[in-house]
Amino acid sequence: MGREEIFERLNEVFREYFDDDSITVTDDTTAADIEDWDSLEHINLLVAIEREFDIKFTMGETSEMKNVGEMVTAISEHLK
Amino acid sequence: MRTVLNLLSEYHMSLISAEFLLFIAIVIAIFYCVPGKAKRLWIGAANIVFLYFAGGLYGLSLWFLGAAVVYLGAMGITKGRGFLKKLCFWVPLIINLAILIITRYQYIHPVRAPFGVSFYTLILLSYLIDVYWGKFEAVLNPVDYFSYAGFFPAMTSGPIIRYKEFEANFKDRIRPDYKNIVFGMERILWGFFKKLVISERFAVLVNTVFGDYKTYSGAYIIFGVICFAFQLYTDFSGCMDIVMGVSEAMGMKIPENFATPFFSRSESELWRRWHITLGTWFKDYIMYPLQKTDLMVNFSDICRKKFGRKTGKKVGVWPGLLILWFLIGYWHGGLLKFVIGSGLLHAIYMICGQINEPWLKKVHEKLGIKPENGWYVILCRVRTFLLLCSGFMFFRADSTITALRMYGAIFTGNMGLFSAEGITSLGLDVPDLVVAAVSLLILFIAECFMQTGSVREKLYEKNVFVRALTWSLLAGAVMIFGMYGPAFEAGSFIYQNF
Repeated sequence: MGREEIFERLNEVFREYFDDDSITVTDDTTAADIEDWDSLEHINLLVAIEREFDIKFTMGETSEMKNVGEMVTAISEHLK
Repeated sequence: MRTVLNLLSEYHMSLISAEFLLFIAIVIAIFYCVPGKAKRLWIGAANIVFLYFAGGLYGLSLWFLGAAVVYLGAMGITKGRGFLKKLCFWVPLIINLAILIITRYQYIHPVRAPFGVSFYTLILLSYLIDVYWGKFEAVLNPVDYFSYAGFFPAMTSGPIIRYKEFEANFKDRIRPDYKNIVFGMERILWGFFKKLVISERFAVLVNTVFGDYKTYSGAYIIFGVICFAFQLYTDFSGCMDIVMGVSEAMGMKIPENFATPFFSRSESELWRRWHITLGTWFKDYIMYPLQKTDLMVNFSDICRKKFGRKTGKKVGVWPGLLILWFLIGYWHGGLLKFVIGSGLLHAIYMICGQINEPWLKKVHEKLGIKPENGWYVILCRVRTFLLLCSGFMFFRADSTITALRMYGAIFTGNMGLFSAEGITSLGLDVPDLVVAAVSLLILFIAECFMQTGSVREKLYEKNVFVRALTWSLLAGAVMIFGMYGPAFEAGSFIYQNF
């Protein structure tokens, strides 16, 4: 799966999770850009992403991801 | 020789002492003289000397034991597989937690807590867990490891540095830099100002009220707990300024622990700005792993089904939030008053914040209140500050029962505070009260400027005369108005005891 396709599916997850159709994530999107994305929501969001792609992030990845770009890299690593 | 050694072993170095200033002057001067690779060896040596003078042979050896098992364990994790890997993770983890819990919380029998144990345990565990999670491989070079594991500025009260943050300082060659040294010294001076001029004064007022709340009831108690918020903040963040300043003077960056927390508008924002590295430590190593367990994921799913998507996802994290804050409170000293005042109470406030958010939003829309309105922002900041103070009542009182009694004593209607005799009966005379108020105002003004960027950068752009005058005034204030001497116990930081 290419990065573009991952981004597309990721957008859907974000829109559904935060109930906001105007969200479009890019490489540089961080928690600061999305109002409801705080540390309490972080794991729930990751679980939703794990389900969408049928993967499991490691604990290291969970606390290391600094932006959506790193998230996409981690997802594509798991899908390899 | 023996007497000298005896004298040394009874001596405890504090960050607020002429000895410490001499110590850092020597450490920094030699740090810049030794060649690149030897710099970390020099930090390692300084760590050992500092830990010895601050905590004696006892403190130094317990730190070394904890650090050494983590060093070996991490290597085992990187090299090992399966059961061996697990063993290399759990054994150092348990040894370090055992040292912390036994010495610090004194369940078995009274043993003295080694100097800095609450802080370096978290530093060591962050390294161990990061290696276990595969974030990076174990460090083989003992100099690289021990220069981090006992980094002396952070041993008194943190910050809780992660290995990657520490390591980043050595990517490029560290050279003596005029700006770094000046900025570092400025920051140390600012820390001394906060601690000696502000904190030590407020401590006198606080000790009087909390020492005899039956006499000083009513308005005195509210005043006392607000003063304690200022005392604790200027004490702890002042200590951090000294720590950051020392690191900065050595050309090193370590993570900030405070970001003008009293400007926070909500409880959740407050905890992103107060004792930051403790919050992120518990979030990364307790909250996230806990929430990723199947049990919590399932609970989250059930909540979403039961309460709907929007509410359900909030309710789903509450158990995790309560456990997290229970542990943060417990870390402060294992007493119920900390579990309540620095823990569960704030988790409950945050949960209430989430519950109230939807209807408050509606009320705001109806009344046409915009969240960015100046007066509304001030209102939110005052409310957040008072909520913080409500927890500090437990934190500062001798016990939970005393704190509850003090809450009761607020309602005696004692308004004596608002008289000239009342306000001067708390241990500070009029000139000292004026100094306390003016210095607090200076801090407030400085922090207002900090909202739009670094005050030191702004000052750096001014000419030498303005800069010299500013810092001479501050240094003068510390020398003239600083409260020294054993009567006020200057030199000991509140968080040093945690």
